[in-house]
Amino acid sequence: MTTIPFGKFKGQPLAAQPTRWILWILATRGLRQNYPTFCRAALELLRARLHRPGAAEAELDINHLDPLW
Amino acid sequence: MNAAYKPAKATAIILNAALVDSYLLWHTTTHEKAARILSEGFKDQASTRNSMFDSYTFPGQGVWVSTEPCFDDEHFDAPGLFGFEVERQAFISISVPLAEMKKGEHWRDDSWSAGQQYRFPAAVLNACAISLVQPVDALLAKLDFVGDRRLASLTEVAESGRGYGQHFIDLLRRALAAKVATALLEVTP
Repeated sequence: MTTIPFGKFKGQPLAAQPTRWILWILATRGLRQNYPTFCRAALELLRARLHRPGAAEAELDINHLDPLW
Repeated sequence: MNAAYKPAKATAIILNAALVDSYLLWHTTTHEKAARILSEGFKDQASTRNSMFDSYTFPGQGVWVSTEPCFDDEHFDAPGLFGFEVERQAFISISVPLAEMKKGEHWRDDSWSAGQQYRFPAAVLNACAISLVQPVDALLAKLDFVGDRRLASLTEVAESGRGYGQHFIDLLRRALAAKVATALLEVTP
């Protein structure tokens, strides 16, 4: 099991994080240099989630857009 | 040139600072490098920005500063430059005279979360007033730029004491207490 090696969620399982957090953290500047192993694990998890039809859409609530937005 | 990075003259900040004669900018680094900067001054450096998806080497050299202190923590949409370890960070403030601001290049970078980024020649910054700022004071300065929703979220973290290391919780509690004290002084006749 991969745990998060830094920051606010340090020590918690990566798999417990929502997809939007994983997308955000992978896009941050320093991750690749500081945590390459974590980075690979996060990409693997992301790949698995995005290949489950409908799962990411449901998590992002993409079918229920806020009319006030 | 990568479309995400656009140098421009520092006109916007000059307009914002029309009523002041200097502008406070921030440089974040490690404690070791901060000690070296304070004794030897800033040095011009080349820099490359690496992200998961691209790599870009900035033309020329200089020193990066921003209009807000950058906290490498998820709560502030950290860039991850310090491995998300806020304890590793040291904060230097630079008071740049308004007339010198035009010597800085403004870089538009949507991934940067600490205000506006500028790059100055080291010689310009070395002629300015430079101070090492304690993390709690840098955080207090940062709170001035934080919106109500994020402030509420940070207050919740400080009250619960959960989700962070003790170092950051202590820092946050002290900064929030100072912010409240400042606000009280402002309303007290």
